[in-house]
Amino acid sequence: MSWLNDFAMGFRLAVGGSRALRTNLPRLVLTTVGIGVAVAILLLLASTVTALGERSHRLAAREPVVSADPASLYATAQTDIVGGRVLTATSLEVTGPRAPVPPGLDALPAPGQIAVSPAFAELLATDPLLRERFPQHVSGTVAAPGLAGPDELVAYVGTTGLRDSHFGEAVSGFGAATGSDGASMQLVFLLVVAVAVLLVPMLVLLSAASRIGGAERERRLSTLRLAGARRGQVHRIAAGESLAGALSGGVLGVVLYLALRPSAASLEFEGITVFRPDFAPGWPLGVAVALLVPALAVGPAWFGLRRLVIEPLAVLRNADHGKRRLWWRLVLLALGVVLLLPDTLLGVASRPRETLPFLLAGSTLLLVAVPAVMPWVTELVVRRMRGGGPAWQLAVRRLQLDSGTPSRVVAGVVVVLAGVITLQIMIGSVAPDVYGDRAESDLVNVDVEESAEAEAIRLLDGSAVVEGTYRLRWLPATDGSGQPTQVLVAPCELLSRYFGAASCSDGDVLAVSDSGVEPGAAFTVEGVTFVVPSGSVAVAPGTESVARGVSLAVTPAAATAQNLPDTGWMLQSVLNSGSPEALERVRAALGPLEWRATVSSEAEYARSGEDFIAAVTRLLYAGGLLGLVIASVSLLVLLAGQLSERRQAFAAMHASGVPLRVLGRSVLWQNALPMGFGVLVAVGVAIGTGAMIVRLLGPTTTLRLDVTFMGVVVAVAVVLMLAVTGAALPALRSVTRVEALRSE
Amino acid sequence: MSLLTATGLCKSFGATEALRGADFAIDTGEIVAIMGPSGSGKSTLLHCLAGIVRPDQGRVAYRERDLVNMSDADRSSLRRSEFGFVFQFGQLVPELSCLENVALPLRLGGMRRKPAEAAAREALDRFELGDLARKRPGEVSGGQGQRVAIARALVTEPKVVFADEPTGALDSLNGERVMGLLLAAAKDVGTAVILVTHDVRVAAYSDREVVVRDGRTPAQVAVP
Repeated sequence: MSWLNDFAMGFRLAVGGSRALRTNLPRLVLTTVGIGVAVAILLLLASTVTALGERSHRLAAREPVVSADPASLYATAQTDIVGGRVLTATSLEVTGPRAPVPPGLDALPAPGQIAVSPAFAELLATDPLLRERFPQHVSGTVAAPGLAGPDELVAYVGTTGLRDSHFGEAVSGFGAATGSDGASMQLVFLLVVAVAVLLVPMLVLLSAASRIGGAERERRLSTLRLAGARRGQVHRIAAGESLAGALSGGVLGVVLYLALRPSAASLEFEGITVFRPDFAPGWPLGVAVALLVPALAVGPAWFGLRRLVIEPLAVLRNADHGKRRLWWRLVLLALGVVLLLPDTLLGVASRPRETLPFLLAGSTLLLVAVPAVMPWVTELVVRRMRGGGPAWQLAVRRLQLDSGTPSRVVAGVVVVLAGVITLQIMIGSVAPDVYGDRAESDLVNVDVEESAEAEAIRLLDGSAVVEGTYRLRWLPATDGSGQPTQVLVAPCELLSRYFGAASCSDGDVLAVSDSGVEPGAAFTVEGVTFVVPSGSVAVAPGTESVARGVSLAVTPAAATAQNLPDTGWMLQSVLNSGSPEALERVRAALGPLEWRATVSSEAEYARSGEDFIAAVTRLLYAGGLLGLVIASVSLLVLLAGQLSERRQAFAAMHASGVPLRVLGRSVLWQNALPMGFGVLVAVGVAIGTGAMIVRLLGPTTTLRLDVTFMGVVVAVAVVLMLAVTGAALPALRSVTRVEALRSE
Repeated sequence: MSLLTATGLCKSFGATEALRGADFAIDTGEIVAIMGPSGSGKSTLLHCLAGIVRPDQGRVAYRERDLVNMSDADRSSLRRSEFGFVFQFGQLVPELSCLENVALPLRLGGMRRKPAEAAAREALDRFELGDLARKRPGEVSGGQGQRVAIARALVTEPKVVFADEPTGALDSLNGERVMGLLLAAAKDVGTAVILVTHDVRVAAYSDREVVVRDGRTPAQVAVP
């Protein structure tokens, strides 16, 4: 019989009907569901990767090619947030013939005209403040080739004066960049961990499914041997049985993918959207998924057979495999740890770009190591357990006989828990450093072209939301030992806010206490020597981001007194509110200046960070819940299988007087013990991995544990475990009936 | 020259000695019953003769070929084409129909489905089981199931059929019917039958009885 016939025979056995189907059907259904969901997840992830790649290409295609020589087109881009969405407005000035046209545009807008994306046009029509800011005549639409996503807010504004401003860049064409848009790095990390977190429970589910009806399957394979099947043939037939699940699972996966694709393609994550046609797996990834499907199905089945010697009369278990080997589990763990300490152990420079591959590989390896270590940990702990009531004793003795299977299933839960908690720790620890905690800040920065400064101050002073506008600047400097630092020149109104100085008057110099600046110290500022006067005031380090890294703060009169350069001024306004609307009003007020004034706000940046954390946390909760539900189904399946296979033992115990509640509690303990270790291992692994990742992300990043998040996730795991035990009770009641004592 | 011979077979399972120097021989077309009390080593002897269990000592030769040192693939091939098996129960694959069960050894041997199933149907008809072809083992009675097993054992027209308590799970009426069919069919194609039983009524169908006691074969009795 050829290999194909062997596989076909296995397939036939998997879909056998009648009484046999009752045993095979749950396995087939679970395998189908497991592979189906795994395939759908993989296809969605592959589509996401392709869509993000396409998005990057689209962004690259509209990136201006900056020329050092005079050109026919000058451009400057401003990016800010409108209604929680990123707006990219590019001002263009045509100065000659054959000016390049960005993708998505038919023609360049003339001064006083604006071309907008469909999403921006919609917003412009409904938001009067935005219209006030962009009063130009809408002359065209930015079509799909010029957009990264369908909901992207993009505008091209025709203008004048750019050629003569340092804001304007000479543009010789479009399509300069080849890299990603920055968000991709974070997304790649999220995707890799998501794949690990979601696929491991799937593999555990498949492994649990392959164990359903294990005794019947072994008997069947043994019969095939008796009828003359060779060892290899039996393995191929067993693989063929699994292929039935692979085929149906593959079909289900594709159907699920096609059903979910429209919604998934239209999902928005942190303002990132993709075009639906871009949301497809692409052939290399599609082929990879297609190859992975049979591997997902056949792998666990084949792996399960490696310990079995299938003979014509019986199936034997290889004694060589009886004792669990620790070394390779520890190698996985150790490799994971080594990869997460690349700077210390491998001499890799501690810069994110260099350490990211190590971070990805190390954290994934640690997550994969968890299911490998779990059976060993469970076995070690269970072996030492003694005493207790009958229910406890029954559970412990059962686990002592075979703790591997339940702990492997629980390992699925552990991977999910460890994965989501690690991600949460990482994001929760990093985000405050990146985005700060200034969501309520009432300061806005206005980067203004020199010639428009007076007009900008006039417009700002005329706005109802602005309480005051001040000039400030940072000057790069070197201290006496040649170390680079910054000198901040700003009026007392701002310096008092930044450094909390009790008193300040124009002409004062503030020395930041932890920078070691003493009176008499000399700084070199753009070639000018600045000596810290004896009357300088010592202040604590500033809390606002504009004051970070500043050693010395100087009032305008003091700057003038020591002849500091009078260039690089920007404006800062104090608003009567830190709300998004106040910021919009400021931008609208400065609308007439077009590209000449750019408004940014710490509050806006911090809010975007909060939105990002909230979005990721929602994803983590959803992913974690999905993973936990899958793992719980595996646990239930395993439990049902165990009850069925041990029905005679249960029936005999019940018949000889063991109450049902004792048996029920023993089943509960049987789940609760591995689950308990699992939760402990998960939290431990997550905190350990999180700490190593956070350490790698920078010296200023500190480990922040969200106890509420951990508590909720762990509580959900425990509740699901109780639910699984509860759901198995009817089956327990059924197998403890006297009829179950019959053997043939 | 005997079809299948065994000399000085010893086999232990842990500390238990199942066979302690058992001898056996069977000729083409002969029907031999192996008898003895429970735990005497009857089934172990049968399994050693069939090449299912490898003896610790001794020799088993089938047509002068050493079965003990034969590769697993060769022994599988023998089981498929030249040996047939009928056991007490659990020998049919529940997922397959009766027809597919009977065709199984042919298909495992590489025969295509149609000719294999045609041969299987013929075998089923011979045992008056044609109506059960599409039914699965779980849907037929114990006696019918044993007859299907016999049809499967004989479909390849084997040289030897090994039967271990083939009527052990049947009532006496069905038992007699099964034995009658098995032996008649075997005689038709000249198949030797080695029959393990502790039932004297079953042993009465044989040409000769081999008694196993404490792992030895002290007595061989011709059945009148």
